Order: sequence, then C-alpha cells, then structure tokens
Amino acid sequence: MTIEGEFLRGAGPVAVLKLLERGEMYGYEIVEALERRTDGVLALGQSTLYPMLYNLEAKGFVAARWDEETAARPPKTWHRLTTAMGALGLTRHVWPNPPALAEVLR
Amino acid sequence: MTADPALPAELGTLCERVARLTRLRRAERADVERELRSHFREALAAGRSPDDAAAAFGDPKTAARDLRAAAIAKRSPIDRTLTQTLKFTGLAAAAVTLAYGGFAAYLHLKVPVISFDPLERIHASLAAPAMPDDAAWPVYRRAFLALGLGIGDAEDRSAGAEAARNAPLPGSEEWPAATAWLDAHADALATLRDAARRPVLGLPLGREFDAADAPLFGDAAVQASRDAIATRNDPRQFPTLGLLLPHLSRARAASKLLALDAMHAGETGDGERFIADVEAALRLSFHMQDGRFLIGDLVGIAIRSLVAQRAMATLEWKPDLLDGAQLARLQRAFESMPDDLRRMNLSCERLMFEDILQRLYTDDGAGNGTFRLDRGALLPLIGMVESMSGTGAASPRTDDPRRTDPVFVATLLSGPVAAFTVADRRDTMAFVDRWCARFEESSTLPLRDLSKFHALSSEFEAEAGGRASVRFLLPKSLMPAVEKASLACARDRATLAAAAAACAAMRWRLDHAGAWPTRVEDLVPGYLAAVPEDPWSGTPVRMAGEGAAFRIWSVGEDGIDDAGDPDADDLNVSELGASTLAFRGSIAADGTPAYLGDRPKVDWVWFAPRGNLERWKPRNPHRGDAVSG
Repeated sequence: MTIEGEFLRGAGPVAVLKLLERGEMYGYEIVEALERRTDGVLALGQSTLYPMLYNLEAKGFVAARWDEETAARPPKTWHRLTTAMGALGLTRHVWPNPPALAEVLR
Repeated sequence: MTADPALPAELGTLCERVARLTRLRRAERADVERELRSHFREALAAGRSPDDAAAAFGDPKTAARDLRAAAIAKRSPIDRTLTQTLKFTGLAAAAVTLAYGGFAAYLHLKVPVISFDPLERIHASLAAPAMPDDAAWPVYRRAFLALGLGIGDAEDRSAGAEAARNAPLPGSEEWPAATAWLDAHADALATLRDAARRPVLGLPLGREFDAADAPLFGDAAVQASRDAIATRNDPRQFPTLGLLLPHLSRARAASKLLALDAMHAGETGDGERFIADVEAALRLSFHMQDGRFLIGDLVGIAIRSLVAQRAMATLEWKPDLLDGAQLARLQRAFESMPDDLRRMNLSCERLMFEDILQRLYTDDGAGNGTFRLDRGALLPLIGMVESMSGTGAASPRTDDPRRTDPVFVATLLSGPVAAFTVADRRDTMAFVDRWCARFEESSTLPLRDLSKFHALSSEFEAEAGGRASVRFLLPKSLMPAVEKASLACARDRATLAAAAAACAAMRWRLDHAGAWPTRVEDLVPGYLAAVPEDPWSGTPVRMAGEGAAFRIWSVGEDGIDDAGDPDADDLNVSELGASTLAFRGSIAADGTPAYLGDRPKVDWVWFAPRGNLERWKPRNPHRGDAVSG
C-alpha cells in the first residue's frame, strides 16, 4: 500500500523532517530511507523530494550545505534540521496526528 | 554546468533540462542542476540503471514547476516583494505599451469622417440673385475682359494699360497715356458701372467656375475649381483653404481704373461720370464682400479707401465740380455701406476651421473627436498656409503617407501623444468660436481704441501660446492675424464718415453763397444726421478756415490738435490692403505685426479744398504708397 494524494502532501514533509531528526542526510539518501523505512508506503516520487526540501528550507525547518567533491566522495548537498526546529520537537507541532505518523514510520 | 564524466549523457541532459525548465535565476538554476546531478550519481552508485533512475525521478516538467515554486518561496521576503513588484510593473508597462500601440494604430487607421460639405456651405452663404439680371458677375466678367484684365491678355501689357494701372495723378508724366487709355475703354467702364449697379455679385463660389470664366481666370483656375469639388471628400484635401478667389484681384484692378476715371471726369468737369465712377467703385467693394471672406473684406476696404481718397482729392482740386444734388448723391453713396459690412464677420474663418477639424480629427458622432497626427494631411496643410502667408517654399509640401521610413514610424508612434496633448475637437472649435467672436466685437471699436486691438492680440497670443501652444496648435497656427482687419474696419468707417462730412460741408457752402461752415455742428441736421466724430478723440471733428484755407481734420493718433495742417498729413495713406493679410505664423518674432510700423503722429486732414492736388502728390515714401493705392 502506498499513501498518495493529499495525505502525502501533508505526510511527506513530516516524514522527511522526522528522518532528519536523526541527522544530516543528502537527497537520494532521504528517498531511499523513506522507501526503506516505510516498506514503500511513503515511496515519494523522487522529483517531489527536492521541491519539498526547498519548501522546508523556505519555512526555516531545514538548512542545506554544499559539500565539495573529495577523493573519498562525490559532491552533494546535505540537509539537516535547523537548530530551532530540532529543539521544538517536530512532530508535536507540525502534524495533527503524531501517533499515526509514528506508526507509519515505526 | 560543465560535463559530468560520472553521469551518463541522458541523465546529464535530464538535469540540464529540468534546471532550464524552472526558468529560475542563473544561480538558482545552477543549484538545482548541481543537486540533481548529485541525486543521480547516488542513484547510480546505489545500483540503479540510468533508465531506472530517470523513470524513478518522475516527470521533468512537473519537477521543474514544483522546484520553481519552492525556490521562489525560499527567496527572502524583500526579494519576493521586489520580484513581484517588477513583475507587475513589467506587466503594467506591457499593458500600457500595448494600449499605446493599439491607440496609435487606431488613430492611424481611423479615417476622418467628412460630415459636411464646406464648399456647399460657402455657396449657401452667398447672396442669391432673385432674377438672372440681378447677378453682377456675368457683366463684371465682360467688363474685366474688355478692360484687359483677362489672364495673359496682350492688351494688359500695352503702354496705356500700364499707365492706367499705375493710377497716376493729373499732371504726372503718365497721366495723358492713362487718360487716353481710359477714353478708349469708355464702353468697358460703362459696362463695369452697369455691373456694379446689380444687387448681388452672383459669382457661384464653391462651385465649378463657368467655362466663360476661363479667359478671365485661366484654364488652370477653372480646372482647379473642378478638382476642388471632385476631391472635397478626401480628408487630405483642404478645399476651403484652397478656394480660389481670383475675382478679387480683378476687382481691385478695376477699382483703380474707376478711381482714375473719376479723377479724369473731374478734370473734364463731368460730375455725373465722376459720381458714377465713385458709386460703382463703392458698390464693387460691397460685392467683393459677398460671402464674407476675410480677404474679400480687406479687398473691399482697400477699394473704398482708394476711391474715397481719390474722390476727396478730386473735390479738393475741383470744389465746384458738383451741384447740390450731385453732392447729396455722392454723400449718400459714402453713407450707403450696409450695416453688416461695418464690422468684421469671421463666419468663413469659422467654417474653414470646422472643415479643417473634420479632416484632422476623429469623429465620435457627437461633435467631438481626437487629433490625428496625420502627416499626409498636415504637410499639405502647412504648405498651403505657408504659401498663403508668403513664408513657404514655391512647391507644395506633399508626401506619401504610406511610407514606412523612420519618420513615418515616428509620426505614427507620436500619434497618441499628440492626441492627448492637442485639444480635442470640441474644445478647439469652442476656442476658435470664442476668439472669432471677440475679434468681431473688437472690429466695432473706434480708431482711438487702437491699444485695445493690440491688447486683444496680445491676450490671444498669451492664451494660445506658451504651454497652450501645443494644446491649441491649430488655432495658434491658422487663425488669421485678424486684429489688423479690426483696425481696417475702424479706418474704413472713419474714411467713409470723413468723405460724407466733406460732401456735407460742400453742400452747406453751396447753400451759403460760397462760405464754408465754421462749426461742424452747423451741418446737423440739415446736411448730416449726426455730428461727425473724430475717431481718434471721440469729440466732434475739427473744422476751420475760410476759402482755400478751409479744412476738416481729426487730431490723429497722437490726440494732439495741430490745427489740421494739410501739408503735414500723412494719414491718408492706404496702409491696409488685401496684400497685408497674413497668418499668425508670419508675424515677426518680436510679435510686432508688420502693418503696425511707425507712422507720423500728425493730424489726419479729411478735406482741404485748395484748388490743387499738391498735398496728394508723392513727397515721401508714405505719399508714394498713397498714390499707388
């Protein structure tokens, strides 16, 4: 089962934020983590992720940094929760039914 | 973005395409592309095939649209506000530009509506003969041709005709040749007098000239009258401005011959012919004012000025030429000017304006409209005005209005500015009507109000000039300098009053055993209906002297009574002829109309019967003008 449409529009950002509570991630890593951790229930269209991240950045929930290429790894953009967002306790503030989401994300 | 060796070409192209489709700023697009490249590198590293990674990414257009919205949301509030402002400003500018261009195109394509036929209106304003024989024109035409006034008439270049045209005074070198020519053309002069007796002119202006007019006016003029009628509905033609009035110059020439013949009759003691000539010249002058063209008025005034001068000169030279009945008849002739000719009438100028406006403005169907900057119409108009003012080039200004050169484009694009700047049709006509009425009213002022003529002219220049010079572009450029015509009207009335007063004084003398009246009041009511007024002072005109020292005079422009010294009088000069008609554009840069030059500030002697013509002989440039009429 996948969750799409209006539900996804609300759940997707919260799910991303929930993931980022655990630490800094890059775009493709988020895509994979969502799919893996929800058993495909929150399998975002990958093109949806980046506008979502931009929006979260615009709202001040997420910050990004560009990591230049090194010998060890290719260049990529890392996304993390802003300090203020992390301290507030994300799910209590942005999601009307945190237990449901927590269930989805386990 | 440079090529990425770690990314297959199709995925690199996809990243570039999505970034390009976002239509974001260059730096934002670079960020998007960089992030997507990173995304696909990681997907490949995770074991996805390029096709699988591209398919998993989703629709590029949707991604680009969402990325754009999100990237814009990410901008700072100030940035977003500025961007929105610029966007709306741009849209507004585009809308204004579009509207401006549309209006320019509308103005260019909007063909003026010719709602009335100005030539028909002119024709309708003419006095119509009740009977065929009432029309003077066919008889005038015969007389003019017989007097050698036809176009290219060989006789016109004969020595006698040349002498007669110069209107010499008796005793001058040319006098014998001139009088011999007059004697040889006695029948033609009789025909001229016969024509002048007809009640109306009967020249159908505004219609085609008759083929019979061709020998007088020329084939070209007849053809031009036909062309004017054929093209009168063409908005780029101006039939009122181009209306030919070739009869005026012939009438002026004929009036000189009548004035000359009057002196010739006086010399030979033929009082009847003298009076007949004066009467004919005066009636001819009235006929020339048929339809009330301003130039016709000026010609009429010039004719009266000349004939009054020559009649006074003759009576001063031959005080016993006429008996009492003849003097009374002559006086009646000088008093016979119809009331409506005693003041200016600018109805033709109004008509001319109304016609120009219907050709240069759009028509909203309710009497209003917008000025059209139509080069195809304005260039011929400017050319016609310049040629009438004597300021233009010999060749008329014409242009192909459909040209697509930069000037045409500039004119087209300037159209809306001109439409917004130049007063609309109704305001322009109201302005013209108001000023015509004021100028007409000013023409009833006496000569002593000369300063009011100038003040009115200055007021017009102030109201139509300065910042209003564009708003009232057409009235400022096309209104004739009519204040001089107002002045001419005042001089005309004064000249006729002076001649009538002289006749009355001579009648008094005949009734009083050769003694001249000593007070002007003596002439009322037996000889004059009212005491003649000095037009320069408003008081009764001066009168004094016995025998050859008798004189009637006005104090003149300076208002100082110099006892009416006839030798100092220079004010009999006919300064205001038809040739002085000019449009305002021809007035000198300092604002001084050419006709208002320095004049001697002396008494204006109306009548001084010394038994000779000494005071009429040319002694200075002013007198030279006087005798040439």
